[in-house]
Amino acid sequence: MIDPVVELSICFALALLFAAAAWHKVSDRVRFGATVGAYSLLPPWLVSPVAHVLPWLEACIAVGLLYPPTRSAAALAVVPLLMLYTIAIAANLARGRREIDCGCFASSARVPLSKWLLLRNGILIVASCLLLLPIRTRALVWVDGATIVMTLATLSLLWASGQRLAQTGPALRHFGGVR
Amino acid sequence: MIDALLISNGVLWLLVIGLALTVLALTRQVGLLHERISPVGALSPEAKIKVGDPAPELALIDLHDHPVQIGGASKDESRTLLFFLSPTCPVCDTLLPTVERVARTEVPRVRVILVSDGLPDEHRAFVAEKRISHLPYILSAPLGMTYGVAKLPYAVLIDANGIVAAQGLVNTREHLESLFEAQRRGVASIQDYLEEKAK
Repeated sequence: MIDPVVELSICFALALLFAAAAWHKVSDRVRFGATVGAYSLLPPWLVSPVAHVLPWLEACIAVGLLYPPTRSAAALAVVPLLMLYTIAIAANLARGRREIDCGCFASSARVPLSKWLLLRNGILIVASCLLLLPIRTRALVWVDGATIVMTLATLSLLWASGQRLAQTGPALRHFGGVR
Repeated sequence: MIDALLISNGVLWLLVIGLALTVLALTRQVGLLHERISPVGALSPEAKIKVGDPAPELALIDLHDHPVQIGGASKDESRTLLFFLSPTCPVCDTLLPTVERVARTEVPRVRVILVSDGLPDEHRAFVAEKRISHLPYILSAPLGMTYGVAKLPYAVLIDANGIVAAQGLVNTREHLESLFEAQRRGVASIQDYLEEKAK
């Protein structure tokens, strides 16, 4: 049983996230194709089709999350998609290839692979699983609206700082040191 | 209404924890940065005139026909920064504004003297282009040889008593500042200081 406020917050946040991810992938398709190739998990002939399909899948999820009747279906689609990403990242981390770009967002925000990306995807998977739980019914008041808006704003900022940390953390490694 | 406030409070706590974790990660990165970036110093090759030696006293005429005195105790307690450059060296070019700015903010006063060698016309065009006509600009190959300048941009800091306080190859603002820092700490170079500290 989850509260409708929690449900709506997660839902809008995920929709925002996938819309942004899809937009960045569509706007720079050449680079995204190269990134998919760089993961070197797919046979070469499959790289281009996958690079074309993934952004549209993400866009569909974003739209689906916003529309109540398709919400649970979209939430259900998020889980395998994120698992796929997580496995792809984990496989390359296991190979020791930390330098490749995660390809999650724009090229201006290159994020090298790290265990933090796995944690991040884990949190996103848990969040989308919460959407599958039954929702409590109660009348929404203005406080709920404020909560949702503020939560979205805070989550966006938190996301941006997390993204920065994931960028600068591995960059620090180049300075040497033991840790 | 109570439900709405309770939920709002719960969500707020989750966000606060998220923020706290982010701050923790940030402080950790700041700590790592601190640990890993040691101060950089100007590279001081084996120079002809060592730090601590008196700077040779020279009376020269600059590009604008003004007399310039280098070395010897200064009358107004000012230090001298000799900046060896060449119009054809791009690093010198980018460092020029920094030299001026650093010299202007340093206390006690620093007199910047630009030194180069070659044909006067070429240098006059350079001075006009860079708008540095207010700085003394000396063309003298012997001056460079006196200090054993092999690579550019090179800087020599002479203190108020006419003693060479610090010198070295300067490629960045940090290198330049390290000369002043070395003088303040009374060491020949920042490299010496770091070695001293490591012992």
